[in-house]
This record gives sequence, C-alpha cells and structure tokens, in this order.
Amino acid sequence: MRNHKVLIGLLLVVGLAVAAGSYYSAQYYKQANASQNALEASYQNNFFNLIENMENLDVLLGKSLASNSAGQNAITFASVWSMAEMAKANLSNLPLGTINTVRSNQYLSQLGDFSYSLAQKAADGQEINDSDWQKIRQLHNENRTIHKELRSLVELMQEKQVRFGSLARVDKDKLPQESLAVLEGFGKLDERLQNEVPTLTYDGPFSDHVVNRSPRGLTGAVINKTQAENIALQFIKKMNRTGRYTVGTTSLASGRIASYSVTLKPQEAGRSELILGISRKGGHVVLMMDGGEPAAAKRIGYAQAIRKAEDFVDKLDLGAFVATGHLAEGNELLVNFAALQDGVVIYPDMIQVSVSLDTRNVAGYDASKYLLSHTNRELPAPALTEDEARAKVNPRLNIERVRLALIPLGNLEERLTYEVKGKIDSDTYYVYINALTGSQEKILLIVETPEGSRSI
Amino acid sequence: MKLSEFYEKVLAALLVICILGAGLFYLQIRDQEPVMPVQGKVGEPRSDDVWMISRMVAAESRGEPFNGQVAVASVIVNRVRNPKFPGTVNGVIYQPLAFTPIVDGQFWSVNPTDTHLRAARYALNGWDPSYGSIFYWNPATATSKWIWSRKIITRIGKHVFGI
Repeated sequence: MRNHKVLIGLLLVVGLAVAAGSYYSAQYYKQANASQNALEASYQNNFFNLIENMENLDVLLGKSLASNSAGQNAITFASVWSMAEMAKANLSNLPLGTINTVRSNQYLSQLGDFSYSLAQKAADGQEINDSDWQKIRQLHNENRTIHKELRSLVELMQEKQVRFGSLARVDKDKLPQESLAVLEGFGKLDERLQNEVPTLTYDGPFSDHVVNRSPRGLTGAVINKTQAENIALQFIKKMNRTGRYTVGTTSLASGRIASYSVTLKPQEAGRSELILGISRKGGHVVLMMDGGEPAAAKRIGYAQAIRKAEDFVDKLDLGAFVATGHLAEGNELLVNFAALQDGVVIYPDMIQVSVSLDTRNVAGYDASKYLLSHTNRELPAPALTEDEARAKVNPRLNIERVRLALIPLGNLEERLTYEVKGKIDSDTYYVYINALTGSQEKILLIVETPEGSRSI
Repeated sequence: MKLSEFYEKVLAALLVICILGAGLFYLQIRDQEPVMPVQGKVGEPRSDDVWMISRMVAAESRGEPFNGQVAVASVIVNRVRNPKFPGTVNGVIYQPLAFTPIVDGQFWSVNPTDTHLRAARYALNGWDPSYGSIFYWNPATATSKWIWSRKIITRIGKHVFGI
C-alpha cells in the first residue's frame, strides 16, 4: 500500500511537471513565433523599400541626364541625395552582416554625397562639367544593374521561401543551402560594386580624396620606441604632474597617424596611469588620456579650468592658440582651441584639452585634428572690409562680434571668412561670409547650455 | 511488489530527466537578457549617443584598460564617419548582426559606470586610441574567419583592432 501511495505521488509530480512545462513551452513558442514574424515583416518592409528607392534613384538620375534646366537639376540632385540616404538606411537594417554590405553602403553614401555637391553647384549657378555628367551616367548604369540584381534576389527568395530571419542565425554553419545562396547573392553584388564603380572625387566629405587623406602636420624624422617613451615622459612635465612615472608598456599602432602607444605607470599610490600616443613620424604627441577613475567632487569653476587649459597650451610650443568653446563633460571641462595666424582664427588646426574639475589636472589632450591639417599657410588679404561683411548678413541678426576666420569645407578646401556672431531672439548663430567673394559659406547654430556651448 | 518497484525506478528516472531538462533549458537561455532600456535624457545635445556608446563599452570591455574602452567607442564613432557604414550612432549600433551585445541582449542589461561614460565622451570628442579602426575582435572567441583578413592596426588588452 505504502508503495502505491509513493507511486501515485511521483506520477502526479511528473505529470504536473510535464503539463506545466508543455504549457509554458507552448506560450513561449507562440510568443517567439510572433516576434519572429514581426521581425521578418520589418526586414521585408526594409527590403521592398530598398528596391523602391533604387527604382526612384534610377528615374531621378535618368531625368537629370535628360534635363536642360539648372534649377530643376538642383531639385533633382537634392532628391537623389535624400533617396540614397533612405536606401542606405534600408540596406543597413537588413541582416546581411557587415561583410556583405560594406561596398553597397559606400556606393549609396557616395552617390548621395556626390549628388548633394552637384545640387549645390546647380544652386550656385555653376556649370556641371562633362566629367561630372560622365560620372552620373556611370552611376546611373550601375544603379540599374543593382536594381536588377536585387529583383532577381527577391525572386530567388520567393521561390525558395527563404526568410530574412533565417539569414540572421547565430550559428552560421547551420544555415540551409537556400539561405546561403541568398547571402552569396548579396555578397556578389557587393563585390561587383567594388570592381566597377568609378573612383569618385568631388566636393564632399565622402569623396575618395577626403576619406583617404594623409596627415599634413606630421613633419620630422621617424623615431624609435625609446625616443617615443622619452617624449612621453617629457610631455607629462608640461602637465605639471607631480610624482614619478615609469614606462609600463609601449606598443605600435599603424593607421593614418602611425603611433607608439605609451602607458606611464605612477610610482606613488593614489595616482592613475597615463596613456599617450606619440606619432612615429616626427614624435608629435597625438593624444593623452588619464586612465584614472573619474571623481564626483567639483573643486574649481569653469573659468579656472579654462585658465588651466590655456596655461597648458602655452607650454606646448605649438604657437598661438585661442579658446573657441568649452563644454562640461562629466566631471571634466573640455576646452577647444584653434590656432591663430596673423590674428586669423585657423579652425582646421584644432587641439582639445580636458581639465578635471576635481584634481585640476589636465586629464586629456588631443591633437589629431591639428596634426591632420596643420601646414604653413599663406593667407590671402581679404577683399571685403569688416563693414562690407556685416552688410552681407541677414538684417534680422543682431551682430555681437566679427572676426576673421579660416574655415574647413567638407572637401578639405579652406576659405578665409568673416565670422559674424549674432543673435536672433535667444538663439546664437555664427555666419561665415567669404572674405574674398562676399558669399555666405556656412551657418552654425550654437546650442547654449549651463554646461557650455555646442555648434550644430 | 516487483512491478511497482520497477515503476518507481522509471518514475524516478523520469523525474531526473525533467530536472536535467529544466537545467539544460536554463543553461541555454541564461545569457539572454530581455531587460528593456531606460531612455537617456532628451534635449541634451548628444546625450543619446553617449548613452548608447557607453552601454556598448560596458558590455564589450569588461576588465579592459581605459584606452581599450575608448578604442571600442572609437570604432563606433569611426564607423559613423565612414561611408561604408550607417551614418548615425544608432544606425551603427543597431545594424543587424554588427555587435554581439545586441544579439545576446547584454546591451540592455549592463550598468555603465562613470568610466564607461567618460570613455564614450572621449571617443565622441575625437580621441581615437584605435587609430582609425572600424573593426575589433577578441582573438580568443572570434568565430568568423573573415575577420582575420582585416588589416590589424593595434592590440589593446584582449582586443585586436583593424580596418
């Protein structure tokens, strides 16, 4: 009898466990299924939008080739730009893996960017030259081919009933044959673009000549590891760090500014290690970061922190600089500096200093922008007077300050401008008037917060 | 008597199987983190970018030195500026299959520290100890053979950085 009771008890426990398990599994399965379908719907939505946008791009590029109106072309090229951006967003939302989309993304970025530069040309009344038209023709052909291949991939997916979700499997080795074929299709499309799209050099930030730029400010001889370590140890003296530091590790990094990464270890307890990047060519200090834990205490105000940063910049021997803005970031104050040449603010030659509001130490330094762009420049004499520049800006702007500034354009060119700072209502704007031609080059909106200001 | 003893054994075995099954199920899903995010402060410039990047740093560079943390953040920032990748921080981070913490959900469950936030801000402001890298991987756990065809820029801690 006793055994029977035990038997029935056990049977009940197991039965209940199985029932509960099945119930919850079924619930989870339903939920997982619904989630997968929602995700699949989102993937397919993006995919069909991509195809539609490619179709629109085909039409727009064709129309631009046929049109003879500069005004209409400005609108067409601006539409190409926004359509290409949308197509890129669609493509980036598909689970194809970064490998298979790298070149397609670049194609769409450059197509948009290039068209934007042409829209600007057309809006400024400039002639679009034959070589630009030739590129448009090539891009148009390329676009048509991509569109066709995407269509054939849809057909393949519909025929073999492949879902995008199946491409996103975590264990790639177990992908079914059909899914692999689809992935391969996208991969081949990407490869083809690699081989057949022309090199695009134009006035935009994604132009090949901008992406592949080489640093202009790296002057001097190539240094070795020991020299780099000595430069690092010398540099932290300029930061007024007390206490002794020794070299921890040094490693080499390649890249656009090939550098030695030197870690300096403190000898006394309670101090943090410092990480420096020293360029291989010329031994310039590219960056410095204090590796310590940030503290919460604020012992100095922003004005004092800016003075600290200015004192530090004076010791760098890089010439004259002017602080152009600051922003509280956590418990540090980031101060931006631009070089000064003959009283002109040279914005491309920028260095950044971050001062701890707790320890009052320089906690970070970055000169990578300066090293990329710094060179000996011959500045032209302005053709406009300051008053003439003032007359060029929108009369609604209440002007607060005007000064000469050299600004970088997206295509690496530089322009001598009058920087006109002014307010409309409570918003601050910086308007840049070309000091040679009088045309407006750029407008920045300054967002003022208690922590500092940021330009947009 | 004999028969019921046999049933007892079978049932005990079934019980053990159930427990083992439950245990296996738990082992399979314990790395999945379904916690939903708390939004960053709206209206502050870039605060969403800092929020997102610091989460990725917290999930990807546990136990890494500060420059290793900034380097992970730099890879995200470098991708945003690269025509081969989406043009926004959220576009880059949420790109399907691009980052493991999004796949396993760690991105939403980590608690970024002040150091992680500082690393994100440094990268967004232009500090780049990855020296232009757009990929990073951990040689001990990387499963993709393709990743090794990338040109290596530098190594920091347990990560390799490349283009």
